[in-house]
Amino acid sequence: MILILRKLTSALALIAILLLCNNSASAQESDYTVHANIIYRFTKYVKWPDENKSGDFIIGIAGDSPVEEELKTLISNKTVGNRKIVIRKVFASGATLNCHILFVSEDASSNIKKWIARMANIPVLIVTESEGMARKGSCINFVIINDRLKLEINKTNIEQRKLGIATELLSLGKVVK
Amino acid sequence: MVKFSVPKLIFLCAVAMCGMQIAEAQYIQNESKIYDSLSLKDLLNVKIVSISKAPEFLFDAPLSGSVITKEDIRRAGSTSIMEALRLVPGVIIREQSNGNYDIHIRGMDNVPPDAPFEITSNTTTLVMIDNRPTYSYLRGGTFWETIPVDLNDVEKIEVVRGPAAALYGPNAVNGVINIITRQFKKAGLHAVLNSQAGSNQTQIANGSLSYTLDRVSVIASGNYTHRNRSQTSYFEYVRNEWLENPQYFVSFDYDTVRNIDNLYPDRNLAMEKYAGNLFVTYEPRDRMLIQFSGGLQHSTVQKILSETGYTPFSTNVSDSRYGDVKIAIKGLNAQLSYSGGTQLKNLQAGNKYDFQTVDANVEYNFTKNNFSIKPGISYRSAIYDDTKYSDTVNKTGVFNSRGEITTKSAFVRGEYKMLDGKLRLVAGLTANKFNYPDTTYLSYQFAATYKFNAKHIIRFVVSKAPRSSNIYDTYVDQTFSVVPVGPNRYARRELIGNKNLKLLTSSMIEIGYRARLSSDLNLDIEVFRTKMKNVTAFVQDRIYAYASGPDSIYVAPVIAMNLPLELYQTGITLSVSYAKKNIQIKPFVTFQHTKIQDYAPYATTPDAYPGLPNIYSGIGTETRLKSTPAFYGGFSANYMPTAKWNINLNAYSYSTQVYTHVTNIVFNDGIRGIDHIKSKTILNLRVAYEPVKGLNLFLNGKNLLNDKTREFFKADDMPFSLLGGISYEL
Repeated sequence: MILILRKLTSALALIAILLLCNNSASAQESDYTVHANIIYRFTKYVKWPDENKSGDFIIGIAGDSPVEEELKTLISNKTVGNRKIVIRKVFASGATLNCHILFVSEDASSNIKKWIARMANIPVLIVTESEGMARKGSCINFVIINDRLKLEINKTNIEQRKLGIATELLSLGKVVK
Repeated sequence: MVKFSVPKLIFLCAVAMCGMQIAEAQYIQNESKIYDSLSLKDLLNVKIVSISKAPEFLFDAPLSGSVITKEDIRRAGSTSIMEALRLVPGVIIREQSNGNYDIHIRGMDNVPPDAPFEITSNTTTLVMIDNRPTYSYLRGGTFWETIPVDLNDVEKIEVVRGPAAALYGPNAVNGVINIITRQFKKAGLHAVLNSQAGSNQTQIANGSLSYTLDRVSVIASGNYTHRNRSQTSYFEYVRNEWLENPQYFVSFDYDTVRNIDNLYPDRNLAMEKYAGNLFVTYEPRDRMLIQFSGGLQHSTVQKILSETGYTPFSTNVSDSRYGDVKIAIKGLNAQLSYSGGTQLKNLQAGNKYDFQTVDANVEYNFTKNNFSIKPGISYRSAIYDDTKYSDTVNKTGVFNSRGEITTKSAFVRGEYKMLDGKLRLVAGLTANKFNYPDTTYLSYQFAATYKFNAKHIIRFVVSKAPRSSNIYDTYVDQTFSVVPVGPNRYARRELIGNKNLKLLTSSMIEIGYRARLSSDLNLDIEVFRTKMKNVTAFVQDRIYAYASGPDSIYVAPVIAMNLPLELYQTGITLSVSYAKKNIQIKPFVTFQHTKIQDYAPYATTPDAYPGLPNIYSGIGTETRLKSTPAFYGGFSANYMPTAKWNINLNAYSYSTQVYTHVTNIVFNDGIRGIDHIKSKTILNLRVAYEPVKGLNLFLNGKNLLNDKTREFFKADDMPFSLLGGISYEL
């Protein structure tokens, strides 16, 4: 028993040293790096109405998702045109939502109807990552097929939100209705 | 009393960590930079594969496992796939000679104790390349040097700890190591070249050339490795000493063996191997993928696996080829693979055999809302034949037979998400029908994960997995000694296979917890309890006599049998991963207690010598299995002070072990056949400089502490070594 405790103490000491030496933060290996990169690319293939072309470009994140940190890391040296990009956590019960892209994580996907209702007819590109979301109001849904991220694009949902989508992006995804 | 290297490890880790000045450097988004250069189309082609044999993210994985990427491996300076596994939690790795390793997941090795190396080596881990098994059915296990791919081919390596046969097929008894090969994402021509050389005449070169056009990608790759031993002496069992330039060996039977140069033609050589591979990927349309890979390999190594009777090392030679076709159409996945070749387990006469294995697997994935189910069938056949090379009359070959092991499996894997996806239930059930023993074994895997939120997840796993029988235990028919015991009287020992062995089976219960403690700090804890039974060994039965002309021959049959022993292992693995822009640290440790019950160090049946101890004499006993370390672990710390420099310090450490070889029973003097392996910490440092994008120059120091102690039973000393090299990626 004493031996086990000594072993455990040694391990905890090892971890403690590692934690104490640096206790601030940054990026971490994550497969969501690819998600974040693709979300950023959407800004080049989607056209927002002119009235939404001023101020910061805001990407909202609904639910807990590693994509938030990945996006924060990614956009540190990027802009949309000349506009600064801001990543903002959003809550279903929060104040007015003002964003250009809304990423609804799997964590929050059970509330997709609420999000869609709140965003009705607003020019927001709704991006999701759960099975069947493209038919539940999402504009672009990530799915994994053959170990790769694929896009399900609902053109109707996009157009209803007064957004334009480039044919190049349409051709890279599967268009669903 | 177990002696630890942990304090040393802590000290080194602390120095490494605290000594580093954190410069706000151009390290930012080094991973993202790779993606920045890709088009959206290429990004959608980035492969995302993780454990549980389905694409998913590691945090959510229901099984205990780890993934190391090609970047992790490159930065750490690992010189081979085998060495790279030292970066993975839960893997015990001992170097036998330069570049040749004994690799176990969580240990349970040297079982049964006091047995030949073939039995005690790892036969319970399924090693795969892109889901193609590379398992050797001769006696079970993996001949690592025969793996045709090298680090230039590797995208990532997934390691699953614990029984996983329900997901991966038979022989995933204690875990799976799946090597995922690289796919180049950029359109056009792409080239990778790595070369390094250094101590002990180590020369490593490998490279890949790929061309991607629209929906077709072709990669040709090749690799070459030469490594010398760190010493030229050999340990001899009988004289119990290392012999420099021996002119002869004395065998177990006190025969003098003088043809040493035939058996060890190059006493310096640890490893020489080369291989070539071709990978073709074709995506004719969305949701349809056709992949082909094929290749050839040659290897000659001096390692400890095949029993010679006088010294642990043997020269092993392999020439083999493989082909693998995978087709994925929507939910349908089919895979057909072949491997075959000729191998020599040592250079003694009659130790050569041909083999060919075929694996076929078809599965279909149905998904509906929160429920998915994947039924499938698979077929495996392994044919080994040494009749062309052996003296089948006097039965002096390896197994003197043409044997086949077949496994037909039907499986179903299902997954159901409930409570808004927070609770996830994963179940796998496989029925395996073997030809020998002629019976059906069930393996299962049930896992549940509960995700409190995106930062905390717990998992619970119950699983059971069998190992298939092997050619040797099933078919061997070998006369391994004929000794005159008087006028016209001879004693003969015969090895006899057994087609009715119960299959070695492992079962496990495990609880795990993963946490994202902050955006840059991940913690993974797993607590496991594993039981293993139906271990096999060769056991002498009753001696009988018969007349052959004027001679009387006494035959001692030595038969493959199940031993009554059982193994129990309880342990905990902790791993942490931490990153701060230009610094990344991944420490990991495992503490485990392994005990063996009902074991007796006697390889005889009760009928062999009535009244004397036998394999059942240990019933009711329980001792700690000292050959599996109680502690092992390590860390990798990477520091990128500027965009052009990369410094990586990594360590691997284990506690003391005691290996008992079959010669412990043969000589029974309490000295010979026992090796006390000292605790050891192996500290490595790689410093790399990138003068222009894609070109890396590096120095690679191995075992900086110059702890020369051997890592395996009477193996070579493993001192400090230094390599320098260049890698280029176009």
